Amino acid sequence: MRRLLGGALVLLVATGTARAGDPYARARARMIRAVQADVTATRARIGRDRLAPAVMEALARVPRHEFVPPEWKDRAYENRPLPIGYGQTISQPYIVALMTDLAGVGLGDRVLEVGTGSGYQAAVLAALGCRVFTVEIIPALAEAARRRLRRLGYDRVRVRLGDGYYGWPEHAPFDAILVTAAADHVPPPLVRQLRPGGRMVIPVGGAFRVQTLTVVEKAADGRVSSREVLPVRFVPLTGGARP
Amino acid sequence: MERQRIPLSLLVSVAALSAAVLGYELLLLRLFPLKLWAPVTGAVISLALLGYGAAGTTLALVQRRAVPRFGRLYPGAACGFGLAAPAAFAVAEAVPVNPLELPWSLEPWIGLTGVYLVLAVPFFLAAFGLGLVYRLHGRRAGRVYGWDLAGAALGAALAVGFVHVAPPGAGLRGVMTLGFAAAALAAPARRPAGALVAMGVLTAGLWPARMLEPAISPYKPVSQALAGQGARVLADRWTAWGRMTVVASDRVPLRHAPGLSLTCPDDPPPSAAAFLGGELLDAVPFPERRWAAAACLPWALAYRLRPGASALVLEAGLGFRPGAALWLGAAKVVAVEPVRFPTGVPRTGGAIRWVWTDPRGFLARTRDRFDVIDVAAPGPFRRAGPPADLITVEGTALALGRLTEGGLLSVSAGAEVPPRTCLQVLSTLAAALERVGRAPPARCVVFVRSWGAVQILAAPDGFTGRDIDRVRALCDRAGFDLPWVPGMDPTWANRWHRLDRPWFFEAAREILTGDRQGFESRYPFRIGAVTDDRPGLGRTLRWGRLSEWLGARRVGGAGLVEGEPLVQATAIGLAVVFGGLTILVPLTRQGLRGSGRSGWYFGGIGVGFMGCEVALVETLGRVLGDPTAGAGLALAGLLAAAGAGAARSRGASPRQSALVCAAAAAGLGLGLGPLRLAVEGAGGVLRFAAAAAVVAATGWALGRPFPSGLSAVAGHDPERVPWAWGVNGFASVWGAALAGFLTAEQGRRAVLGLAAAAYLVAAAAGPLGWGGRKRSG
Repeated sequence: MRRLLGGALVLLVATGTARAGDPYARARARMIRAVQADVTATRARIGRDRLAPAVMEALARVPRHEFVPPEWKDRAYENRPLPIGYGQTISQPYIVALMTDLAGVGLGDRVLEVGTGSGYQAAVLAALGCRVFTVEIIPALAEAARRRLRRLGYDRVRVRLGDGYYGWPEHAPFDAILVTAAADHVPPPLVRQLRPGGRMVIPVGGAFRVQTLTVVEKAADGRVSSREVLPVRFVPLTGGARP
Repeated sequence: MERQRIPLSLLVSVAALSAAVLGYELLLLRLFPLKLWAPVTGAVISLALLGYGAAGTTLALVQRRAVPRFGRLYPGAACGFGLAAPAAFAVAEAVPVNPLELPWSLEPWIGLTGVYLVLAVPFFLAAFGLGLVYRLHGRRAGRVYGWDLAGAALGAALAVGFVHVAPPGAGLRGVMTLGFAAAALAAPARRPAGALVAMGVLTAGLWPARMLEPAISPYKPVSQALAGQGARVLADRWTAWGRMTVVASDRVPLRHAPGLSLTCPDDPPPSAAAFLGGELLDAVPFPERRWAAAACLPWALAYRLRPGASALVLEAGLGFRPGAALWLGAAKVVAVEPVRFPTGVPRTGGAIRWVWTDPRGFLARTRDRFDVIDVAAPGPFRRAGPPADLITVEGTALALGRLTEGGLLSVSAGAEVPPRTCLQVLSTLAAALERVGRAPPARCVVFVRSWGAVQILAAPDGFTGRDIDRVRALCDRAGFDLPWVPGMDPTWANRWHRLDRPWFFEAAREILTGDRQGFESRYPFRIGAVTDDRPGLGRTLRWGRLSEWLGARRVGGAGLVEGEPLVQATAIGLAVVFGGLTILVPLTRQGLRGSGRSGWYFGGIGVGFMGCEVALVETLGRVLGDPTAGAGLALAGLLAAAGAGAARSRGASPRQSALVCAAAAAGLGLGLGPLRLAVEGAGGVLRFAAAAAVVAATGWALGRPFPSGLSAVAGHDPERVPWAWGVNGFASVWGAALAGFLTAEQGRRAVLGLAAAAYLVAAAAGPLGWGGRKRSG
């Protein structure tokens, strides 16, 4: 019954947002269905049958085609990462949805994003009602994202050009931090800027090859630990591996 | 009618063209990885070499019109090669391909096909010219082949030498010049020859430099580092090991701290990073030498357990690990690095004793003993540089034997989830400890895991209770998990960096205390011990699981499918299909009678030669102390010896020649590994002598079957010569591709077994009457 309700909700989200005259409405609905299918396929690994309805709704509202280079617009709603120039990518929608869900954010939360890229992840967070502070290291990408987000009306997103390693201490602490480009370690300044009880989500793996998501959690007493979420089913001792 | 006298100028021309082709191939292998990554580059170039076989096929079809026009066609083909070589490089560089997108869409596959087809053009032209020479002088094939191989040897030596002193792109000017020189040498008269020389010099001199510069993928770590604000290049030089770029930034500094504790009170300092071929080699604090954060790395554990240690740091890079080791209290640090850094690179100095040599050779030759030997598996600490064969059963056994009593071998690796490479390391260490350890492996290993990095310590004498207490205390403080420590409680394994199951612990328990081989065979990735014979550390794909990982690519499986084996297998498949079809085409015109046996012969010796060449060159490169220059020397030596053997092959029996080669391949399979172990600790003269003896004897034998076979074909049916040349070309491509693939999958012994079998097939297909029609050329 729960699964039925979940399916109905996805259908509602997918079709309810299809506005007349929106040439991408059907593609977006297809993307939502693809993301939901992937979530269902990996439910055992990610520990949930479906993602928070608000996350799926935000994903269905944000016009992803506005965040990809013109030559990729017709593929903007495929459930895959796409290049955005400067050796950066716009993440796969499934990974964006999962990261957002794992961050556990909601209305009014302060969220730091490290690695603005095209601004898509920031827009999804803003669509959830978060106040988003996003830092981009590449000047051209930062400027383009700032303009794009402003043009599309995402007023709750602030974009800064700079080194995301240091976070954005003036606006800390954050309820959640999303790091879109993993280094070989978790930057200590980001750990310090995470509010006790907050979560940091970091994908592991190179461009086009995300394979695990790490959730760094800061307990109320300040103790920090991490949890790895591996979407692919992996059973070492029996050798089974299924999506 | 076949002309029996071969002008010396034509033979020199053959040598020049052959030198240009081999030099071109080696330069491309150096240039393209910046854009395509090494495995994709290898596959694309091996496919492009099918142009060699395709030229044989074309020649078989057009030979009656081509042979009378030899005087124009051969110089034309050589000139064409001279022009096409740099042009194909420039066009291929302009084709937009991103290999990282291979799992996601068709476009990169189409782009790679385009690159392959473009690069095949120069190889086709050169092979067309060389094939014409064989067609015309088939009965003196030994002489032609001798010069052909001597030229190839010269090309290999020139290319390897050139990359030590100049950018490989500039080497393409030399390739151009050699192509035109080959044309001039074969020109029918002096005036056109002079014009060709002038044209060659002008073309090579005026070719735009920017069209010789390799493109760098924007997804390479070096591109990412340079994209940040304020990034500045401290050094950017081509070295013998690839392009080295050293980057630092004041505004967006790089930081290097693999597996840094989440509780670390110190921020990692700004660093300068060295990239080789676009991948990270090492990074050191820069401009200030601040080391405090290094204490928060799992890597530091060995130095915390053995304060005041004398340490040997292998593959030391710019000196991050040696510098931090000193800061952590090591009394003496010897740093060994095979890659020589250009001047201006901020290398760590101080009390460190630097040794510039191959680390495995240093281990074999040193008489010193160390309290800590520090090795980094390819992973977070080092992703570039020549293969060192340190983490093989033989290499780690050697390192364990160089420890003082109570000493530690400390290995850093990445902590991928699901665990893969680090388990290969663990299996390798367990196997080595069984060989040299004085206690069961379970008592001799400590395995620590942080975020993204693991540290594995091996103590051949076993760990003391005090050691274990200290490890636990340090890990508790830093928030590191303990997948294995002697006498452990399983609850220590999965506390700080939690997985839904303690996979690292379960695997370590099975490897160290259980049925290791049974576990390794059940595991979804190949995690068995790595050996000198099969050195594929990091190659963990289990083919039986491929469809499952591929099916899961949208949900995190893409990263679990290793690119290299897939790309290699695809290249072999394409080569077999394309080559097979192309081989059959001329037979529809020439008739099938007798072709089967000659096809098996020339196919067999092609596969056999390349199998021996790949195994021999890789192994002897290591014996000579440098997988790059040593391999180049071994290749040049092998080709020169084969050329000499070919030149003296007149009257040799093809069957006997093939049988001798089968015996040589079998002998190499049995003796090459032990030879390496026997001489790697010896001085340079002895190692060089041993390598030269093996190369000379093997090369002499390998050089004989092709010309003796071709002479027999030419004597019987000269029109079959181009086809035989084409079959051998295709088989050589298959052989090289198969050898690379099999080395990683089954080991060098298997490659040499395949080579021996291929030569036996060739021997069985001879003698070379082959039932074809007797014709005159």
